[in-house]
Amino acid sequence: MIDLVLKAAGAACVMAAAAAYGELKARRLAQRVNQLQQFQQSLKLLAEEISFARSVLPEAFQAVGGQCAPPIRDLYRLAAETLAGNRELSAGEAWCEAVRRIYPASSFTPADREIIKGLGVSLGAREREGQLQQIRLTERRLELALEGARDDNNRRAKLWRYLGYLGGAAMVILLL
Amino acid sequence: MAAQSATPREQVRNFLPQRICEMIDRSPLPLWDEAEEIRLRLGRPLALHGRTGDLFLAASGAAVKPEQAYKPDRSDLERALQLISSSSLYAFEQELRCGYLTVPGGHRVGLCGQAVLEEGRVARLKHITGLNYRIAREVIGAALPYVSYFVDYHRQRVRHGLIISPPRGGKTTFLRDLARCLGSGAPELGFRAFKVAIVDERSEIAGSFQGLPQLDVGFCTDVLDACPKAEGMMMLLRSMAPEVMVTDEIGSEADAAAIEEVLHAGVAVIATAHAGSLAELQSRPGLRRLLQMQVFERVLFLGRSRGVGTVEQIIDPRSGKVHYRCG
Repeated sequence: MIDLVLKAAGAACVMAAAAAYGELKARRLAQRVNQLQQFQQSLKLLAEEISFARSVLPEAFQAVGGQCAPPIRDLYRLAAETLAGNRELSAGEAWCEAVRRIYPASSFTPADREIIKGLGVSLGAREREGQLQQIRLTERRLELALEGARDDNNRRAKLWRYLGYLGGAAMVILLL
Repeated sequence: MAAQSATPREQVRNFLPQRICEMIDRSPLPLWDEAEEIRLRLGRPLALHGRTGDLFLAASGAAVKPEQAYKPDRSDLERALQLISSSSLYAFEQELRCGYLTVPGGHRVGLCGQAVLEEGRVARLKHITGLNYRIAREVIGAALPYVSYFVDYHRQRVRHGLIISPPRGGKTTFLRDLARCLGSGAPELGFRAFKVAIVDERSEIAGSFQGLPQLDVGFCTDVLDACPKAEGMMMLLRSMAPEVMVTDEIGSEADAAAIEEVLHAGVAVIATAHAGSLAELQSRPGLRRLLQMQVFERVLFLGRSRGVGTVEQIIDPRSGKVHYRCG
C-alpha cells in the first residue's frame, strides 16, 4: 500500500515538474513578446527626449527608464549609471554594457540582444536627425523581431505546454 | 549667484580627456593655475597658453619644442567631445552652429572643424579637429576700486559706461565684476544694489550653463543667456524692468539701435567694445553714432601696462575730462 502511495506521489511530482517546465518555456515566449513591445515603446520615449526635450543621454535614459517596467527599466537605469560613473566610456559602450548585464535576466534571444545593442552604434555622437534615424532603424529591426516573437508565441507556447504534460506522462509510464 | 565651490582646475578636469589631464599633472610647472587656454588640435602639438606665455607639452609633462610635443589623436578629440557634451552631441546643435560650448563652471570650449551649410548658412560643424578650452577665471574685486566712477551718487543712478581694450585685454572679466558690484551693492562705497540685466550673447560674462550663471554677477542681476544682444536687450527691457543693462562687445548698427531704445527707457547701459582708442571706436559705424549722440558718460580704457586688465584711464568722452589715469 505504502509502495503504491509513494509511486503515485513520485508520478505526481514528475508530472508537475514536467508541466512546470513546459509552462515556463511557454511563458518565456510570451514574456519575450511583452519585453520587445516594451522596448519598442521605450524607443518612442527616447526619441521624444532627444527630439523635443533635448535632454542629454544620462538624463534621457533616467527619464525613459522611469516610465518602463523591468527589465527595460533596468536597462536604461544601468546605462545612465554606467555613463555617469565612467568618464572614459562612450555612450555606445555604456549602452552595450547595460545590455550585457540585463540580458541573462531577460527573455530576449541572442538576435534580440544584437538589435538592442545596435542602438548603441553612434549613440550620442551624431546630430539630432542622425540619432533619430538610428532609433528608427532599431524600431524597424525590432518590428521584424516582434513579428517573429508573436508567431513563435502563437505556435510554440501551446506546444511547450502539451510537451510538458506529455513528456511528464511519458516519463511516469517509463518509470513505472 | 551660482558660483560653484569647485576650483577651475577641478571643473576643467571633468571635461578634459584623462590622458591630457595626466600630462598636465606631470608638469613641474603650475599649469593648472596659470593656463588660460588648452588647445587640442588633431595630429598637432598640444598647446597651453597662459598669462606668462605659451608652451607645448610632451606626454611626460615637460615643456618642449612643437615637434617633440604630444599630438592629440582622433580618440582624444572624440573623448573630449563626449565629455563636454555629456555624450549627447545632438543636444548641443545650436552651440555647434555657433562654434562653442559652455560647460559647468562657465568655461568655454571653442570648436573647429568642417562647417555644414544649409541654405547658405552654417547649420553645424562636423569632423571636429580642434578644441580650445578657455578657462574662465573670476577676478572678484577687479572693478571695485573703479565702480564709484560709474555711480551718480547724487541721483542714485548708474552712468552710461563703455569699457574698451584690444582683444584679450580683460574687458569681460572687468565687466563681470562691475556687474557684480552694481548688482550686489557696496554699502561701504555708499550705493545700494541696482537691478542689473545682462544680455550674455556668447555666455562669456556669466558663464551660464543651462541658463544658470556659474560666475558671480551679483545678487540682483538677471542674465539672458545665449541671446542676440539687440533682441535680448529689448526682451529684458520689457520683462525685467532693469536699472542697468550690461552687454559685451557691441559694435553693429543693430546694437546701437537697441542701446538707443534702452536709453529712451531711462535704463543705464554698460557695454564693452574692441578698440585701442577713441579714434578706433569712431571708425565703427554703430559706435560712432553712439559717440556722436554723446551717450556714454564714462569710457574706461583697459591695457597691459601693469599686466592684463590694468585700468589705464577713465574719461568723460563728452567733455574730454580725465577722471582717472593709471600711475
